[in-house]
Amino acid sequence: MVSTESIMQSATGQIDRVRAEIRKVIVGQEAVVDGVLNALLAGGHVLLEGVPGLGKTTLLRALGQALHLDYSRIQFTPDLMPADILGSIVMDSHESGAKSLRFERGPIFAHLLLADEINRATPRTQSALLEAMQEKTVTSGTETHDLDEPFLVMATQNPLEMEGTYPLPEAQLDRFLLKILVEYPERDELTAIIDRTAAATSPDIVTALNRDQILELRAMAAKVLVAPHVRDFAINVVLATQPNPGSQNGLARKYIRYGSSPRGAQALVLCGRVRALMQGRLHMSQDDVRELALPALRHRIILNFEAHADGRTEDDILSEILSLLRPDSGPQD
Amino acid sequence: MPASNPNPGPIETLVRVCHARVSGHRRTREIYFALAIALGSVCLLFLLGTRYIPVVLMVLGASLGVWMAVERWRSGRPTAYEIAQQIDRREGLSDEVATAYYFRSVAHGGIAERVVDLQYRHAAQAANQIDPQSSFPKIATRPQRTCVWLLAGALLLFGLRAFVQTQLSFEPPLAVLLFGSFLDPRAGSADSEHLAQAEIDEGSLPVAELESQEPDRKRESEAESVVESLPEERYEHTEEEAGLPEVEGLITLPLEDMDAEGLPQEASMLANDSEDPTPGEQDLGDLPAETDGTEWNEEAQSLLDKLKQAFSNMLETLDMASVESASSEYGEEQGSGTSEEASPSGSPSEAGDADQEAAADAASATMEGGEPGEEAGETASAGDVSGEDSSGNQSSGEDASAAGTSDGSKEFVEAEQLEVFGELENLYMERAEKMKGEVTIETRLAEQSASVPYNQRLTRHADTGSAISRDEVPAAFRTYIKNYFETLRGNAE
Repeated sequence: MVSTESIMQSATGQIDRVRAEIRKVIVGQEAVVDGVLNALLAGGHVLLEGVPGLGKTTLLRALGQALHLDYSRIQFTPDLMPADILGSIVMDSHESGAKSLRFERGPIFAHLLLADEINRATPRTQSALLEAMQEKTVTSGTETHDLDEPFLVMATQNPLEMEGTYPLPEAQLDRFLLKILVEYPERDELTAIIDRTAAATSPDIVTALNRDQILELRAMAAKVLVAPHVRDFAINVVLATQPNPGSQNGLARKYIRYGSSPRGAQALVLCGRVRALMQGRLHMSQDDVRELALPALRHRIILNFEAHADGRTEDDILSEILSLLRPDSGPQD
Repeated sequence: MPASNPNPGPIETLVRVCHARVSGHRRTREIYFALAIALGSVCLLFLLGTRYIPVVLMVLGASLGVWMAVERWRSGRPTAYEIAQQIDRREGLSDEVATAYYFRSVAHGGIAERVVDLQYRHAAQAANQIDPQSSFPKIATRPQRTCVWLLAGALLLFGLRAFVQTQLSFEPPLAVLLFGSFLDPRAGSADSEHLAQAEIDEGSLPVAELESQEPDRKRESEAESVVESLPEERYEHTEEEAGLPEVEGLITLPLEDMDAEGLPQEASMLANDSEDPTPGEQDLGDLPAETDGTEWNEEAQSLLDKLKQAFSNMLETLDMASVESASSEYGEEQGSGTSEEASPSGSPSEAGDADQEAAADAASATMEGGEPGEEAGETASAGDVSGEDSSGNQSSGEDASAAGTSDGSKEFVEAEQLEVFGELENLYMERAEKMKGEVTIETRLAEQSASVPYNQRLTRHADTGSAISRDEVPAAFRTYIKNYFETLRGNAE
């Protein structure tokens, strides 16, 4: 009992230390940092969307340094081939004159992978990455290679330059556990960024967690208690995004063409548990569901033409759905 | 639903206490809900009175409120797990108590006991700081506020009733008491006090209650009384001022005989008007029934005697004419051989002459009986055929008249008719001059159609002039008929 409590207390402290180390480099962006950490501890991947220059690459590099994990970066271009990501078979020439084929691992064999501007690669290359994301394996020829845990893909895409890009299909978007929007920094945050950039020395990032501790935190997050009413609330949120004919939510029927898949409910519960653990709780609450509904569901729903015509976004509709769903709190006076 | 824990901890105790408080609040709320419905019924009673809201209806409304309150209380009873969720929401505990209560109360296979215990301990620490009374305070719910308003309204309405009435009565509506002159015609002249007192004095059972139960019957009885009283006044007024004798004796007594004897149809129509009055003419029929004039009866009786005498004479004459006609034909047959020879050659006038000449012989021949009689009958039939050819009449008597055999009788009959009709006309004129007052004639508003359809016939005016002299047209009406068509002709031109 004492060990469990100590693990929980140490987990909270360790996560706080990681945050502190990342904060040395990244100014602000609390939601982005927590989201990336959440996805890492939940075993998923994260899609960051934002204009260039907001510190996405810096964040991933800092996270790799703070967690003492392998870090690699791939700049996606239209001529990028799957072998450039996964690796290829090369011929080795031995001193004896013998030759053999050897699988040369690509940059995907890392703990943290930054797929920068993933929408610039062709769908063939994108799908090669998706196998690694979902199955945690890489197949080359007849051999299948397992990826080392933890494995986190942090993909970015630029929402402005859409020409010459290949937007991710819905099936591929569904593989990302969270989609986090990287916003512009506030004034004071921008001031801090300039001050740190003008500084002569760059901050040293100390390792706060190692790989084994991360895996322990993952196991601990899986034990977080989820009460039936909290689970039902997560399910209700997902169901409310589906424009079924029998659905009582007129908003979904009006603006949503395709609702969230069951992966959305899984993401809510998984990330909710991690969030509870990050806040020092052993139980998940409905507030966790509310907080994670936007990043977990915004890329899982597809709006129809009427929503685009009305200028509605996924976040607007999800927020409205959440406001309509009251938590089941029993009778009221 | 979580099962009860045999060893309740602080969370179970907290949930139980809060559950009891919530149940008490709900019970109180439902009681106030039923009370609100009952107070609403009382307000309606004070407002509309027992005239429109019977006491039984009010009792039914209150019973319905009690039943609804019981059903609401039974159907909406929260479980302990729901109470735990409500505690979390009120205290901002992020589902900590509910989760701990749930996982402590049910089997949680696959979940580490240590995690459950650790979470329960954290939740218990939070639960120890919760005060059930502050978490679930007694607040004024909507039914309670409604009850207060309804109670105030009921007291206000009761006070108004007590203020406007000397003797308190819940029967009349409050609006009638306050604005009786505008709303209730009965209270237009009397004040509300008199109205209430009058209604109380009418009996143990208020009249208004009867009216509310059977308003239609009362309206019908009032309408009948008005209808019955109005014609009587008018007839009495007419009798007093005009002093008319009974008309019924004049019309009905002779008309039965006149119909039986085949008198003019118009006379029969007059009789029918008085004998079989239509609903609209019921007033006219009732008018002479209530009079007992003596002069009028005597005069009518004398006219009836004259009519009887005239018709008896006419019938005797007609019988004689038919016998004479038959005898003359028989005599002609005897003189000329066969009827087949006489009929085609002789004209109607000639046949009529033959009848006149052989009248006596025919009578004697008839008396001899036997074969000649039968032959005479056949001869008469042949004579009828010839008569029809000449005059167009279908009856044998008319044939005889048209043949000129009984022209004297016809004139006599017509003279009698004119005389009688002249007397009748004088009577009607005299009566019309003396008649005063009002006579209401009601007719049906429904569309009526002629029983005999009209056929347009175009003919010469000279032909119509002869048609009006036919026997079936009463002599007394020929002038009127002629004038009528002359009027039509003048209008057409």
